[in-house]
Amino acid sequence: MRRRRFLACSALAAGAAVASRPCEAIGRLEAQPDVARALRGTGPLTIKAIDPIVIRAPRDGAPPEGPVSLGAVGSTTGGQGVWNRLDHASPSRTPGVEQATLVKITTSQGLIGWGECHAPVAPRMQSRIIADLFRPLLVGQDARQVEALWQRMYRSERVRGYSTGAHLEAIAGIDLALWDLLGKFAGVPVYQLLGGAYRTRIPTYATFSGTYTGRDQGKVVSEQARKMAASGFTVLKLALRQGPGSDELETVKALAEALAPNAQVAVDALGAFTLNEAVRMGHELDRIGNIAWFEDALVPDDLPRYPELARAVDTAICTGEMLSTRYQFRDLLMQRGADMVNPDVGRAGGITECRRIAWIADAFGALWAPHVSTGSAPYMAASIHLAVSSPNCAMMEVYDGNKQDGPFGNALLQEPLDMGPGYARVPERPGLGVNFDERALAKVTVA
Amino acid sequence: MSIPSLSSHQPRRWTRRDLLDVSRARKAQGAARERQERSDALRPLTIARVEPVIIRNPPRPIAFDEPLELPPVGDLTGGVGLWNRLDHASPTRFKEFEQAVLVKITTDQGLVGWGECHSPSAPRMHQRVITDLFAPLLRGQDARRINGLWERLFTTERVRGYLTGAQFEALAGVDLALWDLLGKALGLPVHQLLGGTYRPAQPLYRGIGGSTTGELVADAKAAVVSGMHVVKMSYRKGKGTEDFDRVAAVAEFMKPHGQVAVDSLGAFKLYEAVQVGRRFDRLGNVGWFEDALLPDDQPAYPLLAEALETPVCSGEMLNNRFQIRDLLVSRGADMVNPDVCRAGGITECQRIAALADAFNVLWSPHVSTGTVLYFTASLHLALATPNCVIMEGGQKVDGPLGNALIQTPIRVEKGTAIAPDRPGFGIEWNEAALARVTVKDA
Repeated sequence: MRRRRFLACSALAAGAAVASRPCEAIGRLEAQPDVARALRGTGPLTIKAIDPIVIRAPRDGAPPEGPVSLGAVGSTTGGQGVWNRLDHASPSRTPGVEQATLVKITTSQGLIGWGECHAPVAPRMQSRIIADLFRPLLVGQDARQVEALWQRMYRSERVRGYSTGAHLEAIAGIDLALWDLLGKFAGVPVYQLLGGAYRTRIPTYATFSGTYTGRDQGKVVSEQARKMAASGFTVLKLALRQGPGSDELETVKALAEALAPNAQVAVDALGAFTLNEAVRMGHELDRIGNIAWFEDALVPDDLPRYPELARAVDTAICTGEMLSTRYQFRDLLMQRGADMVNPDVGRAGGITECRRIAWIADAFGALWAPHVSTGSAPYMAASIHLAVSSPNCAMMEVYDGNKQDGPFGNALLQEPLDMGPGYARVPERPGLGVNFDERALAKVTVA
Repeated sequence: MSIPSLSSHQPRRWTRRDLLDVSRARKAQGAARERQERSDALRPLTIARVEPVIIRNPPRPIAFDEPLELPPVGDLTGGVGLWNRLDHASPTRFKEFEQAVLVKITTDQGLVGWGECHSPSAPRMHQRVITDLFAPLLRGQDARRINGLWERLFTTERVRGYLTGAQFEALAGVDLALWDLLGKALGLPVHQLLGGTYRPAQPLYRGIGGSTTGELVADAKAAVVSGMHVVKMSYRKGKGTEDFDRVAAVAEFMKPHGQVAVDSLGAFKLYEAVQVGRRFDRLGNVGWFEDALLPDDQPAYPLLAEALETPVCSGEMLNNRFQIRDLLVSRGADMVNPDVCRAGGITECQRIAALADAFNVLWSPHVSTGTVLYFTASLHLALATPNCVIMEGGQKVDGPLGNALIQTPIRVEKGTAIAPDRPGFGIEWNEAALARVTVKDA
């Protein structure tokens, strides 16, 4: 026992130049006798319970289904002439709140794993899928069979065509929890299970959420972006969903010029354009120069046209946050439709699937960058673990600056995630390295 | 036309022609009044409530996750040698139970439209999509704006990539309810709203079952006796099983009557499917080879279709016009079988049928477990499209969720289904029968 603990600590310390008190982490785990037994034994690590937990901040008095908003029927894009057409891409939102669905898996040995589904809108969809469909298929199974259990979940509705959406987000949440469990079981951080880290810190870029209209607002965004570039970010991402001559494009142009040569601007259209529009916008971006990439120019159902865009435009083309599973990425990459892909670990099927996506991208010489949007620590940490252990990961997204300062960030954790301007450090604690402060978590739990 | 007054004091001789004019004019007036009533019905149909209703038969109370089945981790296909590999395609089943989610939309005038989501395994998923995501966006909207509302619901999660699965099945259920509402508001059957029917009745086929070759052939015979010319059987095993001999026996029996279609539910790899398909080619009367490959393997379908003479069919696993577009552009199918209660409802399947038609490809509605509403909605669309060749679900009206649930039965005669001319889908629930199979407190 003592020898094993010593070995575990020294292994962690050796693997990590800057371990965040790994021996204490192990010590805390061993303080639970059941958990210690699990660490000593060889399993099986039987799944006893799977609990989806919906969190919302600020926790208001809204009903459990939460608020949903969307533009009116027939909303148009608001450009000039033919640029003013039906808006086909503005999604539903939950105004004023941040939401996520956490997944807590408890084994019969008492070991607990935490995962998270990206679930910004109607998060009870993901929790229902987990409770009604995946829980009965997983309870009683050996949690260490991460690959096979992924396949089991995917197969449940595979021939019914469930290949995207809340279904894959629910799989992602469970997958993250299984990796967390496996790491805790083995006493090592998840990146170690993935084959080890290429680096201990992954560069991050900063996304400004939402669109902005009006020159003043554009100025405010530019001011903030400049400050963030000065603080250490080398890529700042802005929304670009409006056509030529728009304030958005002007803001992008001004900022790209101001940041050169020390930092770049990336632009995100969130599917706003048709192919023809996207090519014209791409040429505008080519002329501006200093654009890191042009993201999600098209809607995901227009995937077959990405190769045409990528051929027409010099600026790097990126898509992926709207895609799920390796199959969609295979189709995209086979046709050379993207120079960079940005799958979301909490959406595209978790670590298991995103690792495969990263490998496929690598086989096509494409970079990847985890899409990280609203959410909490398991989502963030899983993205970091996969990012540092992947050769072709360029950088990782952080949304609205440093989310660890927000209500879903370090406020919910016993030990903070180390994320600063332009970087995220991979946690050295076992599993994903996320230990929730249960009291803080209870305060944001709504369902 | 002005109507001569019969009560005029002026003496006048009435000719036979005058009387005819009067009668015509009165008819015209009646029609005008009726039109006026209809346009009254064309006032906004404001949506007051959207309610998912979970159906289960037999209606035994049981926890939702209790009877869910899936083969164990690591189970194999069970063939010989290379054919015995990891099974990648057998889905979850809900043993012994048939389930569905009905969607009830009520307008503030009290008009009610009904739709259905195909949801055999975990129906509360669809329920949640409807209660948490769709219902808040539908309440207060004008139900007549079906196009705009479909787009609105699609756009909710489009750029989050929700293009398949429960999202689309839930969307289908809402869409059907909107079409039913519009038909009821206008006093017209849905097939009329879609542009009218191409044929008086829709030919049907059905799946056959049996554990032995004899039982399968006997079931095929029963289908033929009932008037059908096509039956469908499952074929999911490779070499080293007797399954192929069973297909051959049914094909032989069907030769004078029509064809046997074969459904593999995604069981095969490409090379396996080519080898299997070549054997179907030699049988000569395999109607089509359905879902030989997984939906994830869609880019391989053109290679299969090119290799085989037997028509290649896929579509029940696809959920939207974009997936079908990719399949058709690559000439990956000779026939597509989208499911009206999965692939986005009447609105989306109408577009899919038109898309298939533009490629000179036939279509056939996939009709699986569910209620008579599912069957009937598919029927309305089938009849109104030129390229619909045959429809699945030949026994649906006879089952416990079939005509037993409604007041006026849907007529199935000589292997064909006749669309009701009643407003909407023409489904009037027998409330007591529906209540018996409704899961309360779901």
